[in-house]
Amino acid sequence: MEQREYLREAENAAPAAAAQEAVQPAGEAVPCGGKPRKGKNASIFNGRARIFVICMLAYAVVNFAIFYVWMNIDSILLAFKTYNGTTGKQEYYGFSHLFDNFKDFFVNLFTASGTLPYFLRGALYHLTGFLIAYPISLIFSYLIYKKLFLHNFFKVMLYVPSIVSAMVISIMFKTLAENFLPVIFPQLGNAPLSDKAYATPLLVAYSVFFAMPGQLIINTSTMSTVPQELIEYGRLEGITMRKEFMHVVIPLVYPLITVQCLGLFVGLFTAAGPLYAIYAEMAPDYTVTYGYYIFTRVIGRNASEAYYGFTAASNLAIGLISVPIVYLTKWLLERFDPEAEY
Amino acid sequence: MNVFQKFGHDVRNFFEPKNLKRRLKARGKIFPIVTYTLLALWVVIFLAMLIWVFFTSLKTDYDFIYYPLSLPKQEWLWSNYADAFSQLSVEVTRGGKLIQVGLGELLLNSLLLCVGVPLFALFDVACCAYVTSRYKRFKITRVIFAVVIFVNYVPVTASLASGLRIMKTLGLYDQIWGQWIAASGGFGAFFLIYYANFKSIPWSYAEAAFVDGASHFTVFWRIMLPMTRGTFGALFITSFITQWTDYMTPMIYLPTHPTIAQAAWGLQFSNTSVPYMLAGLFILAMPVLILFCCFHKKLMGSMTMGGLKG
Repeated sequence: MEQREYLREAENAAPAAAAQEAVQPAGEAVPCGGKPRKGKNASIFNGRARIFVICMLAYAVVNFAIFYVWMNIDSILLAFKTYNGTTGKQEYYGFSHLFDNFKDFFVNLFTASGTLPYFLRGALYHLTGFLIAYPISLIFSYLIYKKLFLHNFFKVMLYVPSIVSAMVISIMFKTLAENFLPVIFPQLGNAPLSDKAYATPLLVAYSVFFAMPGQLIINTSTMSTVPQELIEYGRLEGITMRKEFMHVVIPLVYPLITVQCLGLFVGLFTAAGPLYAIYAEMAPDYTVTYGYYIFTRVIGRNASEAYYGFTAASNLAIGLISVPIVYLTKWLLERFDPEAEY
Repeated sequence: MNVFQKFGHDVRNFFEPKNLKRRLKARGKIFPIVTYTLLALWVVIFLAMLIWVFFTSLKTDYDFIYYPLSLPKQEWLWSNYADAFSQLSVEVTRGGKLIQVGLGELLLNSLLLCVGVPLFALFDVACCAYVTSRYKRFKITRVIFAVVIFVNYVPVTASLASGLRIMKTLGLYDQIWGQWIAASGGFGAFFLIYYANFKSIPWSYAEAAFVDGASHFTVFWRIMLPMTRGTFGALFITSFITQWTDYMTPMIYLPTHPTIAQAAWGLQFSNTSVPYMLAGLFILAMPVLILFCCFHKKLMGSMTMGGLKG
């Protein structure tokens, strides 16, 4: 039977369905959600439904078991392995050297020419983006939500960077920084992105500037669910835009802010920024972040299977360090949960 | 004091810094003016960047070097686009030989990924979300929902090395269909969108079909799935755009099947001139921008997260 016939019949049956839904929520409706019907239908909606559910989920469960469970377990096990150049295989360390990859990770971190600056640089890119760009992104979303002059044009422009991809934007930025900026600011030299003095500030500026649009669509859509009566009430009371933003909108969309902040903190130590798009494997040492460092040990000309154990151990260690930070952030955000004033 | 003198006095008085600040503050205008100016400034800078890049892509090498800030002086070199389009290529090693993968194969690889990955992924997500949202009587669906929440909100990520090893072990490495399979997990970010969508469809439609003897699969395939075509369209376009501009995944998992994004990215490291390279980037961005222009209402449609408090 065609879909439209079902729809027509469903519309005819609507009063009956509505009566049924009055005593039973739609999501829990029979035959699958509530109690099974007696008689002929009961067998159909039990045995066949079970088979149907299993068939529908089978592929996804197998896929999940391979690409999530197995991959994560393999990643953990890999952290305790070393590459045997003779056999070409990853083999477990002996018991006395079981934690050598972790030892390498921590030793590398704190030696004189170690990887600590990479961590700090990654955190710098990420935190400046978070501390400066995130509040601005909320303000931008609020201005779009308020439908100020040219809001549709601004909305499209703010959305364009996420459409044309970070890679295209990064290369455009690189071209601009190396060919346009030196003409206007000659003190930057010919290649500021390869200059120790200017490379990091320029990359930070890039991170901040292109993080400003933020998650515009989600932000404005969530803001638009703020009850209009509250906004009207505030307007009648003579509330200013700043007060409306700070004391009504922000407190009401605070759950969204919590989720987004947690998302931002998850990549604190592993963010690679635009480095690979701009430099490929040739990023100068004074721009490198830990995410980029690990990536280039697995992919590209500097990559080798000998690094696999070390990168897996780094990944695991960073994950273990990140989890308390993420949950501490969550706790702090919940603690400072502002109350809407209305 | 005549009218003009009085007007002049009022204007001078209004714009005197002390008075201006007081007036603006009293009317609560500082916040909107400052923030709106910041927004406008961001848009102007970004637009200027795009315009500069576009005009640069039409320049000759001479114009670009000697007149970097002006419009093309010698000629508007639209042929940069045609040249960049026809000469996009990537060097790969196949069977121990170094070969150039040309435009035709790059486009084919891109299209296979851009269409295949979203189709597989969205169909799988739809299957999972449908039974999880509508067949809650079964314990497994409730377990699956809990797993999805865990996967989406707990920061656990396997190392890239493990991903490579498993793809190689399963024979999926360097295969386009391997990417279709690897990317088609049913519990990803799109799950919750589909889940909400299926929940919002009245179950009475399905009931009418069940009464007529339709099977569970028929109800899903002929009634429920077509009703989510709006969501499917928006997510398909979003995923298509992501795949089209993704140069990393082919580089990592498909070393002998490069895509057009990889070729455009590689232009900056080849011996091509800057205008030519920028033309290549615009060629990459063009289909995406056209798709965006056609479907911007769908793409920029309503999407919420986290909900409201209280």
